[in-house]
Amino acid sequence: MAADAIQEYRVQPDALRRLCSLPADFEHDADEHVGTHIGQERAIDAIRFGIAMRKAGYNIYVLGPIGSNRHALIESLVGEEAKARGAPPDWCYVNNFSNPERPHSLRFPAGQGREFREDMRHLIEELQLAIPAAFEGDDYRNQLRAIEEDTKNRVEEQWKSLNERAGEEGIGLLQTPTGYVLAPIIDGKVIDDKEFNKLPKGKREQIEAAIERLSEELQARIEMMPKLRKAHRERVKALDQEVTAHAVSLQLADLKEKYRSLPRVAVYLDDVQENIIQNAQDFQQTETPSLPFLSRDSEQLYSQYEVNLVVDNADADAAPVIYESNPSYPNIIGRVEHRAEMGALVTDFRLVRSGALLQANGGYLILDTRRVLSRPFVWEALKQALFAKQVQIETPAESYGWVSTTTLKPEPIPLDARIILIGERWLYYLLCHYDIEFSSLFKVAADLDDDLERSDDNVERYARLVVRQAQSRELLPFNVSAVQRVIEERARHADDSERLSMHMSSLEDLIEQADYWARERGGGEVDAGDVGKAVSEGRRRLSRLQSRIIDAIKRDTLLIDTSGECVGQVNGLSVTDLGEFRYGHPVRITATTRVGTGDVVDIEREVELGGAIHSKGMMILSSALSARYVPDLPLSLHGSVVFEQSYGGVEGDSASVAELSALLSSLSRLPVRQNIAVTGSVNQLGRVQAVGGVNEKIEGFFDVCRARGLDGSQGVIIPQDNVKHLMLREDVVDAVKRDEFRVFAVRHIDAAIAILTGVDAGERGEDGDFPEGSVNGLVESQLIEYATARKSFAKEATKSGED
Amino acid sequence: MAKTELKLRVVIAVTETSPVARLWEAALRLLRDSPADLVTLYVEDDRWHRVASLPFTREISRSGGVPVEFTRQRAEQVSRERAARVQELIQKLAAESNLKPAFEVLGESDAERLREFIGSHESVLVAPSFISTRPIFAMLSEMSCRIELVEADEEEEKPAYTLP
Repeated sequence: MAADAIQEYRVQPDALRRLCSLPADFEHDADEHVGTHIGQERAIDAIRFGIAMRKAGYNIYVLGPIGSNRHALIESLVGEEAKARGAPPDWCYVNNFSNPERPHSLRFPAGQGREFREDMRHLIEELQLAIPAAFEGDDYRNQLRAIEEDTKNRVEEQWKSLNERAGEEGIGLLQTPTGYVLAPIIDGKVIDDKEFNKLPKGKREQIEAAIERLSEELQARIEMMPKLRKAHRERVKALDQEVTAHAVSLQLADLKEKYRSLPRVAVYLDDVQENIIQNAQDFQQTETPSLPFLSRDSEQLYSQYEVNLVVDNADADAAPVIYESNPSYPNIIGRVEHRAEMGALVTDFRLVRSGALLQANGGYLILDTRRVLSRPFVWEALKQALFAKQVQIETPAESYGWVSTTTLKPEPIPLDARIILIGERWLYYLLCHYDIEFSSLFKVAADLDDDLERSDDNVERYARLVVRQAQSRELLPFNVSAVQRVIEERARHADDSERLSMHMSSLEDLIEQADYWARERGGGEVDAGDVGKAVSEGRRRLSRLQSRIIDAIKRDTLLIDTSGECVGQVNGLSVTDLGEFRYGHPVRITATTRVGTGDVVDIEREVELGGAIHSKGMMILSSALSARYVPDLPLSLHGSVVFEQSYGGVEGDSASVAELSALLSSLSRLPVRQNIAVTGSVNQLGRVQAVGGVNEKIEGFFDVCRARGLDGSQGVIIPQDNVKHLMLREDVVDAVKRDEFRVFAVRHIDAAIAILTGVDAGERGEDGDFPEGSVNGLVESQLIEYATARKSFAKEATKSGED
Repeated sequence: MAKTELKLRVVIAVTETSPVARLWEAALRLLRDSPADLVTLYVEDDRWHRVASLPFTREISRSGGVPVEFTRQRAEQVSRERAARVQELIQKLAAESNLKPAFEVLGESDAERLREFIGSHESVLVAPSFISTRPIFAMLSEMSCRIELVEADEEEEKPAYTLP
C-alpha cells in the first residue's frame, strides 16, 4: 500500500484528545445552585417519586458505583422532603404490670414522650415522699394501732381464758422454746411423778383428764392463730391501700388530666395507680434488710414506674433521616440489654434499646446494601419488619426460635419508615433475581448514570461544579485552564471524549491533588499544569507493574518487536485492570497455517486460558475466512493462533483483528510490520468493531516504543468507531503532532491488513477473483492450494484403501 | 477483773425468767460504788425435770401438729437452752460495759456449790424479788450475805402468742 494511501486512515491530532474550551463568558465564581448531581435527572426523579409516595413497598434502591456521590444525593433530596413532613411521634416503653415480660409501647406526639418521662420521674419523686409521709402520719398510726390493739386483745383473750381455765383445774401452762407443756401444779409448784403418785387415784385421774382436755383446747386455739394473723394482715393491708390510694390519687390526678387525650397513656396511668395501691405495703419505709436480695429495694420499687423513651423527637423539626453505617442486627432492629445482678443477668423494660428502624420511624433510613447483606440476619429481619409494618425488638435467636429461656418480648411498634438502600447495580440485579420478595418491597430503582453527555451546557455546569467543589473544600482557586483540564480528565475517566464521568469521589481526589501540587510549587491558584501533575503523579504511583513490563520488553524478556517485519506475527494490545489503575501493553500474537479440515485452533482455549468471549471471537475468525475466501471449495486449512508469553487468562474479543491479521499474513506469506500494533474486534463480514480501553492500549504501545525510541513509523490501528473515545495523554498527542507516532482508524479488516503489510488487500473483481498480488488474492490462492492438496490426499487415501 | 484480788464479790442470781436487764443495772450500780468481783449465778429451775417425770406429759408445738412426749432428755435440753439464752443476754450486756463476768449454773438445792461462791467472800447478792419464794432463798439467808432484791413478777413469761 502506498504511503499516501495509509494517510487516509490516520487520526488527526485534534481527534486524539478533545480539548475543553470553556466559553469566554464563563463565570468563574461558584454557583451555589449547582449540585453535585448534574446529569442525574432520571435517578433524581425516581428518588423523589419514592420518597413522596406514601404507599407500602415503595422503598428505594439507589443503583450506582461507589464514589458516585450517592449518599450526598440521597441525603439532600430526602432532607427536603423530611422538612415538609415534620417530626414524627415519640415512642416509649413502660412496664406491663400484669405481665412484666411484655412491656407496653406508648405513642406520644413529638416532644411529649420526653415530657411524659419527666412527669413520671417527678411523680416518682413525689411518691417517694408522699407515701412514706402518709404512713408516718398520726392518722395512719392511730388506725394501725387500733387494729393491732384489737388483734392483740383477741389473742390475749384466747390465752387468758385458757390460762384461767387451766388454773381453775390446777394445771399450769409452761412454755418451752418451741411449744407448750401442761403440768399439774400443787401449792404453786409443778409436781413430779413421786408427788403425783402420792395423790389419791381419783385426783390423779382428774388431773390426767383435765390435761387431756386442755391439750385439745390448746391445740384448737393454736390452730386458730394463723386465721387471726391472716385477718390482722388483711385489715392492715386494707388500711395501707386506703392510705396509699389517697396519696397516689392526689399525685396522679393532674397527670391523668394532662394525658386524657391519649387513651393508652390514660390506661397506663390507671394501671400505675392500681399497682401502687395493690403494693402499698412495699412503699412503707422499713429497716434495711440484712441481705440485699431479701427485700425489694426502694430504687427497684420506684423504677417500675419509670419511662423508657426509645424514640425521642423532642428536638426534631423534621422527619428523621438516619444513615446507619454499621447495620448490624441490634443496630437496625434494637436490642434488650441485661445487667449483672448477684451473678445473674437480669433485664426489664428499661433496658429495651431501639435500633435504626425505630429511630427512622416516620422518616427515612439509609443503608448500604453490601453491609446489610453481609451482617448476619439483618436482611431477613429488615424484610420481616417491612412486611409486618412493625418492629419487634428481639434477638435473632428468639426470632428464629433457638432459645427457650424467658426474656423480654416488648410490644411491637408500628413501622412507617422509608428504607433507602444504596448499592452497586450487580447487587440490585442479584436481589431481583434470587430474592422473590425484594421487588415487592423495593419498588423504586434509582439508577445513577455513570457519566453525562459532554454538551456545551453540561460542560459549563460541570465547570461550575469543579469550582464549587474546590471552594467548598477550601482549595486554592482553579483558574479556567485548570477547570478545562479537569473536564478533559473527566472525559478520559469516562473513556469517552463525548461524555463526562460522574464519579464524584475521583473528581474530588483529582482537584485535591491538583491543589496539593499547586501549593507545592507555591502557586496562588491551581492551573492546568497542576491538574496534569496530579494525573501523571497518580499514574506513576500505581505504575510499578507497567514499568516492569516495559522493562521486560526493553530487555527482550518479553518478546515484542517494534521494528522490522515478520510473517504470521502481529502486535496485539491488552489492558490490565488493577482497579484504581488500568494500563495497556502489547502482546505478541502469532498464527501458523497448513492444509487441514477448516479448523482454526485457539491455543488459549485449548489450555483453558481463554474466556468465553475470546473463544467466540476466534470462532468468528473461522467464519470470516470461510465467508470471504474460496466460496466454492471447502476451507481446507488448519490454523492455530496463540498469545505468546501469556501465562494468565485471556478474555475479550478485542484482539480478533490482530488474530485475523496474523492468520492472513501466514496464509499470504506477507510479512507484517512490527512497528504497528492493532486492536479491535471483527465480525464475520470483516467489519472492525469498537473495543474497550482504547486509550490505555494506544498509550501502552506508545510507552514501549518511546522506551526504545520513537522513529515516526510506529503507531496503532484502532477501530474507527473508537475514535470518539479517544482522550489520549498529552505526551502521546504531542508525539503525533511531531509525527513521531501515528494512530490509524479503520472500519474493515482489509484496511488493517493493508496498513500492516503495506500491500493492498484487494477487492474481488467482476471476474470473481481478487487482484493478483493483493493480500486477499494471495490468501485465496493459498487456500485453493490447500483445498487441492486436500483433495489429492483424499483421492490417494481412497485409492490405497481400494488396493 | 481479777477476782482473787478483790474481797467484795457481786453475785447476780438469775433464773430462766428473771428480768436480766434490771438485775444487771443493779449490779452495775454496786460496782460503781466499789470495785468488786462479778459473778452471774444461774439458778436452774427443776420444774422441767419434774414435769418430765410425769408419764402423761406431752409437748404441744407452737405451730400445731400432734403432741409429742416430753421426756427427761427434752427437759434437759429445754433447761440448757434456757440457761444458754440467759448467758447470751448477760454476755451482751457485759460487752456493752466492757466486763467479763463468770457464768455459773447451779441447781436450786445445791447448797455446797452455793456456799463455794458466796461463803468465802464478802458478797452482795443481786436477785429478783420473787427468789424469796424459792427454796434457795433459805440457803442464802443462812449465809448472811447482803441481798439486793430487784422488783420483778415471778415467772414473767412472754405472751403465749405474739402478733404477727
